[in-house]
Amino acid sequence: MERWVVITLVLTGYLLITLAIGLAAGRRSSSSVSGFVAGDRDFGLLVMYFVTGASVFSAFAFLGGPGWAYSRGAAAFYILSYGALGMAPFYWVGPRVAKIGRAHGYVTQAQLLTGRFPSRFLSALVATLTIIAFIPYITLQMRGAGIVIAAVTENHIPLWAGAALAYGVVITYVLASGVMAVGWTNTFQGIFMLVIAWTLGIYLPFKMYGGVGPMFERILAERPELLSVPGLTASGSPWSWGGYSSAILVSAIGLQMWPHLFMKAFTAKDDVTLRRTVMLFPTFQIFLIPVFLIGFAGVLMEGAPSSPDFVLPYMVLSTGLPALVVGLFCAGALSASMSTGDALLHGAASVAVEDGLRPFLSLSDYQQRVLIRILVVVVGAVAYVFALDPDSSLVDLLLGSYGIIAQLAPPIFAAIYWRRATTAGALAGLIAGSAVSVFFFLNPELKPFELHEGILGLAIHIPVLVGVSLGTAAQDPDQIARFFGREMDDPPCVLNQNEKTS
Amino acid sequence: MSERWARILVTGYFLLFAAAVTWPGLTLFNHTRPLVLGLPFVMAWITGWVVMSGVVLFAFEMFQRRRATPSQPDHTRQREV
Repeated sequence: MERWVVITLVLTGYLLITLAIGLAAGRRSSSSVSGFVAGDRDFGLLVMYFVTGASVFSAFAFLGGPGWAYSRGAAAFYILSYGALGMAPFYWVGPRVAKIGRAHGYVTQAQLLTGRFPSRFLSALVATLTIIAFIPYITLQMRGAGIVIAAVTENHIPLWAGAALAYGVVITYVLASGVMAVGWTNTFQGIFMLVIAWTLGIYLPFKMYGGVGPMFERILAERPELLSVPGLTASGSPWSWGGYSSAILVSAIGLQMWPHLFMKAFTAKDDVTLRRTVMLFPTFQIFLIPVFLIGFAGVLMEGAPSSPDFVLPYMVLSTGLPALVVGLFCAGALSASMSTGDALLHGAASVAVEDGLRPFLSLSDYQQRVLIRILVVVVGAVAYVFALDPDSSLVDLLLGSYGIIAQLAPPIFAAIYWRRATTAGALAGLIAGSAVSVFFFLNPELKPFELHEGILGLAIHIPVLVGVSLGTAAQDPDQIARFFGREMDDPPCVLNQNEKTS
Repeated sequence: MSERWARILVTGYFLLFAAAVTWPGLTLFNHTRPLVLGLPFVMAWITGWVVMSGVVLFAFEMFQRRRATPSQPDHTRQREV
């Protein structure tokens, strides 16, 4: 049998297993919006662990991680640094958010925000910012899936077909089973990619250099500039400390603000599960070590892939591994792409309906579920169109979107920790912070010390939030008390609160 | 030790972590040698902070759980926590 046929068969087997798990998962949840979006708040530790880990580790980590280590060396260590730092505050924030969410029936970030800062405009603004940030992220995952399939099948399955195939499966199980499918497929995909990454990350250095230590000894002898932080930029010149350090800070602040992660606080069964998920997260983070080892193994290899992001498929194909192993690797990379893509698609559609439309339209539970499903397909289609465009500079857009997502942190923290914060303050801060972030994204040459635009946005955002809050009348104490659950006899739903203020 | 102190210690760990992996803290540990478990020193340094963050949260969780369930018959142990 031809090599690419064996690989395609392994791949088909993987996609069928994923589909079966995704479809079976939905039979466990109720058919309500809470069931579709928040899994009836019933995710146990195993599922929460993999949902969090596998959603964070996307095609960017699996393909981009080795690509960064290969082309930019120690610059890649920023990815290793920020994850555990970014998750840690969730140990306290997560249970607090979950408690408020349970009391009021919240399933999204904007619902939490507008529960504390009643404003339909704020809800729509958060929904819009979220979708703008999500589209390039989803596109990147789709393109990653297409690239891997095209590479390992020797282009017998072209990029457009590979991306369509993988995401056809994703959309099918998300439509059928909602967040339950995301949870259980991520568990399967997470285990799969961990095993593949560690196996390849240990195997390649041993096969090519005789071990991890000998590999780094040779890199130190021939390319020592690669192993000192802050490493190199994409063009090969030294990266700045300002760029490196602010990339860690903005990613750490932005990480838990990504709605597909934040919303998982509403899916956890209890606080203990949430806290243990955060506690165990560093074990998932360590998965970046073999990923980087794969990239470093390629540094001294003869020949070069067409782009650093292709270093992983390039090495797998050029080191003469059996077809079965190449097929399994491909499934691992697809796992990374699909386990993030499904969470993103589900998150984007849920946010668009719950936060973008529901405050303005009266929708029944059934209508909401139908709309979310329609939007899963629409968002998927939009991202697919972008994914086919080889010229779209999505990596740049994705970096920019981190700057926008990080702006959600101050209002969220103010909502749950600062009673004096007001709606006007939250709105003004969010608008000012996002505007500054977008301005420096579009004018990178004006950035002081090459700091990330998200950090510059926060530097304006926080004083504006505090200043405007203190300069406006304090929020109604009854409303704040209701939000924090002092009077839980008649918990108001989000829609009622919004109606009251509109 | 009170829970408040335990919280302060955990928060302190993560602040130190942030300082140790960014400028200027990291410049003090930005060496490639010695190799630790085959990894360049700076890579092992960052990995160490990541691994320890799990250990610190685990210790805090254990501490909280022992405080939450003080119903063991061993009274000396209760006083200890």
